[in-house]
Amino acid sequence: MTVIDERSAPATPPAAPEGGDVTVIASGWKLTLREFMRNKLAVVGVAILVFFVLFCYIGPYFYHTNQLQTNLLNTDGVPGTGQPLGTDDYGFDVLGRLMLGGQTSLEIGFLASVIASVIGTIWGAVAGLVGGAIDSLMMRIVDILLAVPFFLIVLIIAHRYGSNIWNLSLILGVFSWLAPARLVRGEVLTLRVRDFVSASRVMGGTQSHLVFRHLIPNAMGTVIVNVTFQVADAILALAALSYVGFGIHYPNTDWGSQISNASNSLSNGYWWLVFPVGIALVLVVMAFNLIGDGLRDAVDVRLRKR
Amino acid sequence: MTGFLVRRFGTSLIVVLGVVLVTFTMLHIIAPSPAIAVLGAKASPAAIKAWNKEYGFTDPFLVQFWHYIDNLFHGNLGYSFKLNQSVTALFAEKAPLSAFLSGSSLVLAIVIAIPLGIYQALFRNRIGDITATVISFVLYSMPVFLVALLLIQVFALNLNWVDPNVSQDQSLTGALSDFKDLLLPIIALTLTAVANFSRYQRSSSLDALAQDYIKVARAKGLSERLVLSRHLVRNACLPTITLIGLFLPGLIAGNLLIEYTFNINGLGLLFINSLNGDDYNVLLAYTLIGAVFTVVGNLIADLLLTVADPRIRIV
Repeated sequence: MTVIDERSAPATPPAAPEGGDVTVIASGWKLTLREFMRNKLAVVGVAILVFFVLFCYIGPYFYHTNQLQTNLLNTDGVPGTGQPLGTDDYGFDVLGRLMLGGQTSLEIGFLASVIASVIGTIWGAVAGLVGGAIDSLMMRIVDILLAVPFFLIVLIIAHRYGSNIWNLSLILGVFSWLAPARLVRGEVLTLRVRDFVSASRVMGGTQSHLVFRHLIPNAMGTVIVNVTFQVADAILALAALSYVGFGIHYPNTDWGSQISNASNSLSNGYWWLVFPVGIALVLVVMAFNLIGDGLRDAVDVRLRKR
Repeated sequence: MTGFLVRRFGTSLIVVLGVVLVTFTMLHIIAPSPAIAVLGAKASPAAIKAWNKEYGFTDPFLVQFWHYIDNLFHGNLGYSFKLNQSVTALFAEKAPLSAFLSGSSLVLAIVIAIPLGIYQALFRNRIGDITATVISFVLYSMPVFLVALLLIQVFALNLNWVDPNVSQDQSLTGALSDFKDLLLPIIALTLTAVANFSRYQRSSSLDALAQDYIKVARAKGLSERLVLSRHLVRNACLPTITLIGLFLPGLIAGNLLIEYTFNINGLGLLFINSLNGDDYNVLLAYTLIGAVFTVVGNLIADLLLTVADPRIRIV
C-alpha cells in the first residue's frame, strides 16, 4: 500500500468546481463584521459615535476657545456669531465646553467599562472553570454585591475619592463587574465541556492556559457586546454623579456637570446651557446602545442568515 | 410553598446582612468617625477623641458592626448625629413622600407599558409601533433628570401649565394638596420606567404571538379579544414581571435624582445632604433599604411568576 503524499501538489490547477464558485468560508470575526454592517441602525450608531469622537478630540484644533480663563463680562451669552451655542455662567464658550466635557465623559465611560469587563471576565471564567465550592462561594459574593445599590455606593465613594478621571473610572468600574462576571461564567460553563477544552487538558494545558488561551477568547463575543452596553451605562452613571455634584470637579468638566450647573438657569430662559449638552449625551448613549444591539445580533450565530 | 418561602427568606436575610457588612466596612474605611463633621473642622484632637470614646467609635471594627446589627434587629437604625434625630424617626417622616413618588410612577408605568408593548407587537412595523419604539429608545438612553428638565422646560416654562417648584411641604398630605406640582416628577419617573418595560413587553409579545397555541386559539374561532386576554397576555407578561422585579432597586436611584431636581423633601434628598455631613447611619439605612428592595423585588417577581405561569408553580 502506497502512502499518498498530500503535499505533492498536482501539476495542473484544479478545474473550477461545477455549479459555480465555492464561497470562501470567512473567519468568525469577518462573518460577525459582515452581519453587523448589514444592520443599518448599528451603522448609524457607529456613525454617531465616530462623529462625537472627532467632535470632542479633533474639534478643539479647529474651533479654538478659551476654556482656562473665565470671562465674567460675557456670562450666559445668547447663541450668536462667534459663539454658536452661547456662553455659560462663567463665560466659557458652550460649544468648546461641550468638546471638553465630551472627552471626559467618553474617557470615563470607556475606562470604567474596560475595568469592569476585565475584572468580571476573569472572575467569571475562573468561577466557571474551577466549579464546586469555590464557584458557589465566588457567585454568592456576586449575589451579595448585586444587592448593593449601585448608585448609592458609588455616590458614597465618589463623594470622598471622586473628582478626577482615573478615580471615577475606577469607582464606576469596580462596582459594575458583576453583570459581566455572571455572563462569562454562564458562557464558560457551556464551553468547558467542549472537546477543545478536554483536548487542551489532555495535552497538559495548565488552568491559566485554559482560562486565558481558550475560555476567555471564546467568550469574547459576549464580553464585547457587554462592554458596549457598559460604556453607555457608565456614561449615564457618571452624568448622574456629576449632576448631583459628586463627579468631576471644576475647572474640569463633563456633560453631567454641565447639565447640573445649568439646570438652575432654565427658569432664566438659558436653554442653550442645558439642551445641547443633553442632546449630545443622549446621542452618544443611544449610539452605544445601537452598537450593542447590533453586535449582540451579529455575534449570536443562531440569528445569522447565510 | 412554605419550605420555599422559608428558604428564600433565609438567603434574602444573608444577602441583606452581606450588603450591610459591605456598606459598613466601606464607610469605615472612608471616614472612620463622623466626629469632625459633628464637632466642626476646628475641633481639638482631645475633643474628637473624647467624642469618639463616648459614642463607641474607638471600639474594634467588629464590635461596632455587631452593635449595629444588634440595633438593627431591634428596629433601631441608629442616630443621625448631624440632624440630632433617630434615623427611624427621620425616615418615617420622609418615606411617605418618596414611596408615593416611586409607587405611583411604578404602577402607572406597568399600566402603560404592558398594553403598549402588546399593541406594538400586534401592529408590528406600523406607524404606531415605529413611533413608540423610537420614543422609548430615546427615553431609554436618557438620564431621568434630563427627562425632568425637558418636562420643566416644556410644561412649566413654555406652556405654563404647572409650577416648576414643587410644594416644600414635608408631609405627604401637604404635598398632595398641591398635587399638580407632583405631576412632572411622577411623569418623568414613569416615562423612564415605561421605556424600560415596553421594549421587553414588545419582544416577549412578539415571541408569544408566534407560538402555536395562539394559532390554535385563533383556529378554534376565538374572538381576537379572547385570544389576547386569555392566551397572549399571561404568557407575554412573564419576562416583564422578572424585569419589574429587577427594576425595583432602580427606583431608588431614580427617586434620588428626581428629588434632587425638583427639591422634593424625600429620602433621596436626605441621602445627598447626609453625604456631605458623613452622616453614617442615614447613608447606611438608605443603602439597606436599597438592598431590601433588591431581594424583595426578586422574591415578588418569583412569586408573581408562579401565579402567572402554572408550569413553574413551586410545590
